Amino acid sequence: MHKPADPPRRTVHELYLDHHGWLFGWLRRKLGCPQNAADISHDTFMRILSAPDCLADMRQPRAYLSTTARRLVIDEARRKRLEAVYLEELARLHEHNEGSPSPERINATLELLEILAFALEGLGEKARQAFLMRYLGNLSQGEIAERMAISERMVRRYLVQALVHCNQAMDV
Amino acid sequence: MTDERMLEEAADWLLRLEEDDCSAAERQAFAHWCASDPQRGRAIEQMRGLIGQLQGLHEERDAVQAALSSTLAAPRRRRPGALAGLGAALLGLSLLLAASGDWRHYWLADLRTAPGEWRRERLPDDSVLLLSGNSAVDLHYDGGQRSVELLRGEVLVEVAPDTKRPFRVTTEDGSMRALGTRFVVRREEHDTLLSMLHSRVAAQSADGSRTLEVSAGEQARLSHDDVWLVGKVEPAAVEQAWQQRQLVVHDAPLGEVLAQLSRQQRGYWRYDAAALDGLRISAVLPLDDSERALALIEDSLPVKVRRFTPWLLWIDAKQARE
Repeated sequence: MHKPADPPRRTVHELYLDHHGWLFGWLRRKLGCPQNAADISHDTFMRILSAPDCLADMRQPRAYLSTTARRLVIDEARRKRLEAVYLEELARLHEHNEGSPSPERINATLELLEILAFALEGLGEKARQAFLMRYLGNLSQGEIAERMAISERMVRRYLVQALVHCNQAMDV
Repeated sequence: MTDERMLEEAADWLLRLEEDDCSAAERQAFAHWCASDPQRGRAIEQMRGLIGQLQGLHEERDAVQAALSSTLAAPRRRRPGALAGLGAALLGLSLLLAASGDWRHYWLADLRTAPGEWRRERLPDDSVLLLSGNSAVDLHYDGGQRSVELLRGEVLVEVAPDTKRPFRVTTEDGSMRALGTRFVVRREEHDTLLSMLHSRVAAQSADGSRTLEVSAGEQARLSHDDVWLVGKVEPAAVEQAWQQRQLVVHDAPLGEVLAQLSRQQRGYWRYDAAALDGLRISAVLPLDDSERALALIEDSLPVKVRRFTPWLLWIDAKQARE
């Protein structure tokens, strides 16, 4: 309803000047690889160039940029796979539809899975295993050590590594 | 920006606090560590948010684990991985088709809208369906019937007259036979809500035991074994709200309002409905501008919105001590 003072139309160029450094830094921390980070941040701006309409109502540019970049990192094919495997597994577990989660819950979980996949992307496999066992599976550090046949000290180190890694992905 | 050493310390503290032999003195040291730098507090809060999310998925852990492992073990970007992904997706789809159960239909519905996406659809008989965001319907049209099965969400129906084929909207909770008419049907968690805008509808519970005629300006609920009137609506106001994508609520529980708003979000909203119990709101909220809707709610009720990422926010009741 407050039409008179339209904000000046932002150009891709300005957006680039204002936020490219930030986006690249965020992706580099996230991906741990400057080359990949440069590719993804380049592709992110290319995508915005190809859909200039989104500039007009971009109220939170960083949120928009990071979402676009996230979708480039976990691309369409992988998102589809994530969705398919999750639904397939649910179907298997609740063959007679007993106690299966509500559609709303499934939807929310799928959104969350995408975020988690992005957060965990680039983390070593063992650290990821330990992390999921600890918080998703609710196993103690001792139990994880036993299952992975490593020392508790190592489990702890993996957990720290995972928490730091994920935080860097989430911290927009 | 956040430095890695600080994040390691934060993670280390979180793990230490979980361990059985963590002493009171250590907990105090932790509180001090947190308080001495807002960056630290923020890091801890974000990590706890993530941990909370994972813990919240505990009951579905096998499915979550399988999905994440398959995706993350997949070939990385810019290698020929797309085909493998498609294969897995198709495999998943075929298994879904073979499986039974209602919720699986959502992914295969005839018409489906994403959160925040409204859609107007003219049906073969010139009836019109307006789907609100995050809704899905299946159409069953043939020589003898016109039936719309509402699988999820909310739909406004404008029925074209046809004396030979009755028009029905069905949900798991019952069916609504139109007698020439405009009405809104919404699937809610426990039942189905019918709002009549024009003319009348014969509403019947799913088990067929109860039937009720509902007239313009009336609202009724349908459940498996009952149909009952719940109140009045102002048809013009409902139409306007649909036009402008607004949610109009009168003295409604905040939990219900958040459930409706969050259905139009891509991100994940987390709130404890029990903790928000007792908070009620009367407002006109934009369904397509969540930031403004949340700001309006924050202005009028003692709640606090915490954002962990653009895709995840928590809504809490404000503590009395502030």
